[in-house]
Amino acid sequence: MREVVIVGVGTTRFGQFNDRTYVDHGVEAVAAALSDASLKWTDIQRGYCGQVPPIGPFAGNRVGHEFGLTGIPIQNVDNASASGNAAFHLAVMAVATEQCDTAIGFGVGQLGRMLDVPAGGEQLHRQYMAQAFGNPMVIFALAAQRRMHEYGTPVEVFARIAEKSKLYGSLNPYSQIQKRFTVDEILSARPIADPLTLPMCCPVGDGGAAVIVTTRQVAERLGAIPVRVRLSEIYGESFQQDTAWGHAICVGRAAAAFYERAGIGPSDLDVVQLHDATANEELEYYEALGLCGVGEGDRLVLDGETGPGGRIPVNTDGGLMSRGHPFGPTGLAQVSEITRQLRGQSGPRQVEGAKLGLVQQTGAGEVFYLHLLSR
Amino acid sequence: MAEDGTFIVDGWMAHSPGGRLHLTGQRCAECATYLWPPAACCKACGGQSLADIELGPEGALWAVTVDWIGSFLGRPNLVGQVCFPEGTFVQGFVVGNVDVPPKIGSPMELIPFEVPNRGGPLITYAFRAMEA
Repeated sequence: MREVVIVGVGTTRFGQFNDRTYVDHGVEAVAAALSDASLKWTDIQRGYCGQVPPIGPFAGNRVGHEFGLTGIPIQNVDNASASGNAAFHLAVMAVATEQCDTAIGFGVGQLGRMLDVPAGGEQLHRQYMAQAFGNPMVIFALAAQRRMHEYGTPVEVFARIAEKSKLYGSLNPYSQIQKRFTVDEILSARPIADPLTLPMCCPVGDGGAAVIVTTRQVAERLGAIPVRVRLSEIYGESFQQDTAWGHAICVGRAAAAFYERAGIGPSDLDVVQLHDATANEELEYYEALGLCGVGEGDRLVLDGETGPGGRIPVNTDGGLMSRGHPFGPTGLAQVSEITRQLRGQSGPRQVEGAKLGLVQQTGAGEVFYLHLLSR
Repeated sequence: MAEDGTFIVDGWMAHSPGGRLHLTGQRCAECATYLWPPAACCKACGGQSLADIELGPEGALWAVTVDWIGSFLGRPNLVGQVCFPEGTFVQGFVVGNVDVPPKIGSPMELIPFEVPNRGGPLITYAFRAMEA
């Protein structure tokens, strides 16, 4: 397949904005990515938009209309938390397989609006209620309880991960939460689902993000700092017999296959973006991605290895817990952050000399994306 | 129909002749995996030969938490995951004091549990710690 290069990224500040629509967020993000790439909308040949109901239908087309009806085909994709990653993946594939030379993956989200509307109708609502699937943080809290039981993980480890997230978020002007928290403040904050408190969980918010990909030849003509998409893959959920929460096992299997195909190992990585809906989910993925051994995540956190100056900084823009997680744009924001890191444009949160970055994202435990980017 | 109301989802649970509540699970004839909730195909192997079985009424607590949002009940409540002897994990409400949740590994039993609904309360299952 043809080499694919990222030439433009754009993100809005994520947050709760009652005076803005998802179209406003999308337009701002796409315009920022076009400006970053020194391209015009008419240069884009394919578009892929990450969105989740109830916004839309055709959320991407509604954003595109604001730039002009130029005949660009736009596909809207929904893969829950990983909808933005799906949009990015499809844009990469479109260029790699020579369907077009330049494509955009973008995403929009208004998560607050989504939570106001029961999804799936009365029967699905009953099925969720039967199983106590209400508070979305409960499933992660149960995994945290099991982790504490099996490994003796103290709750302070989860608080340290959240503390690191808030620190990075405070250094990112696009982050939804820009306030730093101490470990004590995190532990004494409003409980959501034991042992998780509010700062250990991703916030509800809105926003937009966009990434433009093209060929090496176009990138050189534009004079862009080249960030190469080394590999982009999607993996599906496999049945897990021995645990009630199999996401980390699925991510671990996906990562092993991904590293082999990419010809790298986790020790080659300089910076990572991963799905941290909650602090304990981030901990599980440290081990699943091979950033440390199984059962060694606690030590990795307590030694500060995933924070500023650490061996492998993770979620340097604040991640889902601080930058925010409006679903549709989340994966594009992840790719944007790694791109900025590899370009050396991340300011006070820059990982010095970063040359190889990984993006991981989970979509409702059903799909798992991995993207490898390099200078 | 439950003895004391309407089951929240048809075909997911029933009372045994002895009166105790059980879940209506499935066993795959091809790979012997036990499933719940009922599905068209086996989640492990895709097999379509699935026989109904009774799941429960007893299992072991895998994990438990307090849902402080109380999404469905309007008050903080316990939620847990129970592993049945067949190896099937099921999540549901846990009856008990949020300040003193049962310990992981505790023997649990299924009981009927009323949840609010616009058209009148519905009956789902919940887990309750069994007497030592």
